[in-house]
Amino acid sequence: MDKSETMDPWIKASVISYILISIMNFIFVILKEENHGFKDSMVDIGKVFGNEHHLHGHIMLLIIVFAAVLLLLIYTPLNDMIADLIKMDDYQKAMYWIMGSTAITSLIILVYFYTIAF
Amino acid sequence: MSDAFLILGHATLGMLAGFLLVFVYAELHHASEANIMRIRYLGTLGAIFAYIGIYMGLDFYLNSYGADKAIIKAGDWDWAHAFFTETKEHIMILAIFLLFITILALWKTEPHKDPQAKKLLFALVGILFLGAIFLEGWGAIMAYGLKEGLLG
Repeated sequence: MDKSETMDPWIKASVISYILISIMNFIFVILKEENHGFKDSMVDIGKVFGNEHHLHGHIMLLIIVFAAVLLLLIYTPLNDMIADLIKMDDYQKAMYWIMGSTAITSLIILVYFYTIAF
Repeated sequence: MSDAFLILGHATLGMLAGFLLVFVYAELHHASEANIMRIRYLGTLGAIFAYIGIYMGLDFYLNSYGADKAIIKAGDWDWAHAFFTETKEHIMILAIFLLFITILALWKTEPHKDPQAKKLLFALVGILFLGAIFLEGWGAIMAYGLKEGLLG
């Protein structure tokens, strides 16, 4: 049996969504610090969801994107196509993608704020 | 809810979640039919504690942290905000999604039968536990930054 057939589609889809969210997260962080217009947009999104803090908008937007991508991947053939593209055909590969996305995103955020703070 | 309740509840639930995740990490080493449900329930409970802890921390941060931030930035430890608070608030976002994937992996895989699924759970639980330790420590640095600002 093909390995991808044994992998739970929800886990596969959520890991793919997580990779996207990880990349968006640090891009948002850098845009927020570098571009005041972007911060205002996050404030506006936050207001829609009940709090005008930019972080509220940032989190709500990422949750919505994560959920939308997750549902898109679950209910269309895109899930298998992207999993094939990034060679995520078993849980061990999914583990590498999660560890890699988390480590790289965290490192970029750490280094970026270090340069601002010190 | 009072600010003290929110911030102390945030730290306590974060530590409880970390404790449960270590428990799950240890149980995963000898996962079997006998303990798989305990792994799933304890892991899910840890994730729920973490979600409530994150919610309480965010509520405090979004609605009450402004005054503390001004004091920290005016004090000797201004980097406690510029580096630790800013980093904590954005790395925490990853935990929101990692916790969701962990709950899925706990209930939709069979780590007691599938070694790859077990490795995935080890990685998820391990990252979250390390994250909990770092976030707790950074929160303590923020609190000390506030003290430095007040003692000025």
